[in-house]
Amino acid sequence: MTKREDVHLLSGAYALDAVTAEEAALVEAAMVQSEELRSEVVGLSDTAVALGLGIAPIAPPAALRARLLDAIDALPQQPAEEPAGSLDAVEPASVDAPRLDVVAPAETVVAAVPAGDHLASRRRRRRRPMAALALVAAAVVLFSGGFLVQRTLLEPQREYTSVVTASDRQKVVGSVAGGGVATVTWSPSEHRTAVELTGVTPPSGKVLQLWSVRGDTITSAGLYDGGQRYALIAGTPSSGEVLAVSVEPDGGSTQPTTRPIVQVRLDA
Amino acid sequence: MLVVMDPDVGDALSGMRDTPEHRLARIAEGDRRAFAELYDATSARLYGLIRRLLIDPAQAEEVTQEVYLEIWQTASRYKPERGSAVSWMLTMAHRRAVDRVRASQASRDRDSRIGIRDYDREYDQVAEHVEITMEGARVKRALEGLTELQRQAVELAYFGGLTHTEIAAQLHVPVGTIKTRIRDGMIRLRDAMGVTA
Repeated sequence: MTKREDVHLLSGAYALDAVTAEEAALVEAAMVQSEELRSEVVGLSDTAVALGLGIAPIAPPAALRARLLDAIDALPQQPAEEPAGSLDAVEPASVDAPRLDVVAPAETVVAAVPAGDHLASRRRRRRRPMAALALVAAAVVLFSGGFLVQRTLLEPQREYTSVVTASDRQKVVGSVAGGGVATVTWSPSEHRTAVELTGVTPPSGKVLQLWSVRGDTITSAGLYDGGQRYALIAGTPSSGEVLAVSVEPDGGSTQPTTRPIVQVRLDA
Repeated sequence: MLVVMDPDVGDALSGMRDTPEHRLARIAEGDRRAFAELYDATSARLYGLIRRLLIDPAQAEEVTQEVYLEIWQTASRYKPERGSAVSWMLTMAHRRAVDRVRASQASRDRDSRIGIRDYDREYDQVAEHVEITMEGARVKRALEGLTELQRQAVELAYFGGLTHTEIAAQLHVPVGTIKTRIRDGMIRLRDAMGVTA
């Protein structure tokens, strides 16, 4: 799979979403270097959309409409432009960065791709190949050498999906002070808790830190990377446990140093 | 630069000239009514696609909900010059549905091998449903231009939500063969449907 022509042969499977995240990243990295491949992927992705348009429409259950209209009341929207350093910000400058050939073996690029919401960013990338190139380019610079990043960012995607689709999943939603939503989903069978924050961006130089609060014992449950869409925590909450999120200095704190922006009581 | 489909395909297939693109722009400004209108205009199409992949109505409804919430949240990121709104939404819907298929498939695999049978059933249903819409007729004609093996591979990928590696395993064919088969099939479909990049 490391040979260039092998990656090129994945264009059709990529367009059909019939690749793993790792393979998708390889294709996206190869698109940086090959206009021919990029153009082919765009055409085949459009063809995949045409296949979707050929499916007979089915009216969804009526209740869904009302539920959605209720849900969006509490759901913040993303601003038109992403914060500096992200997709839109790097778009024009680094599209044609040929030096990447030197910097980045394909495996490194794999590590770089999910620098954020990989489902959504991959989707954006599929819609916007040039922006995709820029994202890959920027990410390569940030993470060149990051096999660990691959492990910690790609594997959780599967774990996250397992948690939020588990048949025994439980979910609690809380509002974030100043706007935003915190969604905590856990699954006893998966032994994992997923925390998803939307509409929350930590100030520059600060991080969001998760806390488990049991009685008067507060324990760090990890950092919430601003570029990520969710955090995964090992284990599941005990009844009455509270998950809190606070803004902390870069690197995190041993105990919260600011008032939590959200506290969610996790009752099973 | 993306999704310049044959115009009559785009219009006929989306079935709405008063455009989802404008509605998305309004949604990006927090317009709930535009969201409701967009939902009314597109939900059957998205739900139809998602249900084709997931079969199970309850799961399809959940995924449809996820997709529309994502549309609400990310409407500002939609760029009309990069393709039609419906393409953007269908791409998102397909991706989400595939994620769910794989998640369910993973849990099924832990228990049994029932998954394979489900996909076979799904495959048959796809062929049946594709026939009953006008745009479906066009897609069906294009699909008929493929070799039987190409069509099978493309359909297992797009409608079955399988990866090319899973398809190879299911059909007992080398991975490289499936990769090529899918690519050749997609190129032929692209040319038959007049899709240009």
